[in-house]
Amino acid sequence: MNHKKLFQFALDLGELMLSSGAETFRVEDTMFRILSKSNYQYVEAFVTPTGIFTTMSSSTENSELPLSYIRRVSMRTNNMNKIVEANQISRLFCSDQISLEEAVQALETLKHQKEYPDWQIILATTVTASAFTLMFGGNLYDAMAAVIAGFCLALANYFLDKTKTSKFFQLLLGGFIVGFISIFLNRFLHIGDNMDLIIIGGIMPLVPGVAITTGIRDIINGDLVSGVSRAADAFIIAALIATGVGFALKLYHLAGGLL
Amino acid sequence: MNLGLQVLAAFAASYYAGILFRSSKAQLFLAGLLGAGGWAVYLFALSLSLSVFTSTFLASVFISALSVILSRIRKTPVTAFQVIAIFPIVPGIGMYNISYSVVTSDYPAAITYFFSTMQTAAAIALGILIVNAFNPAAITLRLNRLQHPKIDK
Repeated sequence: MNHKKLFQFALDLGELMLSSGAETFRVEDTMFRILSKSNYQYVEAFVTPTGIFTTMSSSTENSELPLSYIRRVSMRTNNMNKIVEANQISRLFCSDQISLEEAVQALETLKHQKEYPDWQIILATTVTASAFTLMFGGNLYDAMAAVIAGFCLALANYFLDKTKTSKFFQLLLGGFIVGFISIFLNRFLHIGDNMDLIIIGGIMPLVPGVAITTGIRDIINGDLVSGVSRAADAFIIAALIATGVGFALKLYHLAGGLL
Repeated sequence: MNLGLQVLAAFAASYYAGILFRSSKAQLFLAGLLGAGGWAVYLFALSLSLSVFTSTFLASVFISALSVILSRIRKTPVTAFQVIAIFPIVPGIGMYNISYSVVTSDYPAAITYFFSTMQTAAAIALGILIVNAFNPAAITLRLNRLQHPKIDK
């Protein structure tokens, strides 16, 4: 088996899983299993949310030189489907059901796999916002206002994604838009009874659910570096959303509105 | 508002949040059901006049345990179910309340909300932790990690 090719495959798979939001131990475990297919005896993978460090070495005489790679990972998205599919590829490869070439091919296909179309993402953001308003005890009028707030948020996200705006600014603006629209609908057009529930529903699509849960799981598994950095990520995101909403509330307050 | 509607809304909330997390269609329905179940457990515990901490903890245990079982049946990572189903009980309300109190210069309330939000987050973490301690796959992984890997060739 071509070691460099195997190494490249393990790194690509690990990078894909990590940038899709997989937990650290899952990436390390998957890479370890794949690298164990080589002839090297010592295999180690160290993964943090921002990079992958891997090395393989052999203790036997006149063996090949140790191999070591560092892969910087800058993209962080949430993509559960890619984690599941990448897991499946590694499972098939490690149980010898597919060859390395087929596995590399499958990974390449997965990388360019079609995701949900834009309109479905916009619809999902809108429905999530109104569903959370209802779930927290809002009435149907509140949900109606949340639909509008969620739709505005989805449109803003869509255009900001297209122009590749900074993720942090996007969250700040998202919080502000939700706050502004909710205040406008509730206080000026008098739609809905609970302004707080409309705003909470509206910001839920922005809340870092994956980072929180994955961070907790990382800390439990002993990956302290990853866990703490994910928790910091979640905390910064939450603070940005809250600042955006707070800015809208403050503007209304300054304009003489009663909060 | 009646509880049935809230549980139904929890299903829609986790289902569509699952789309935002780019989960596949095959996972979405089960994850949505799990999210609704978790929220039902939370509401039921609250109606027994248990505290928010205990209710969140019970919901977290319920969701985590069923995610582990489902993931073993369907041979998928636990995360695929757990992240989506746990999303409804993540303290979004607390976050809003903190910023609201800060904006209205009500700092004592902000501190109260801050600690109650931290408490809810801790309850979720505790639920995940306890289920993880009894997950057979996690136990094997933990034992494997105690020594440096050496493969016999």
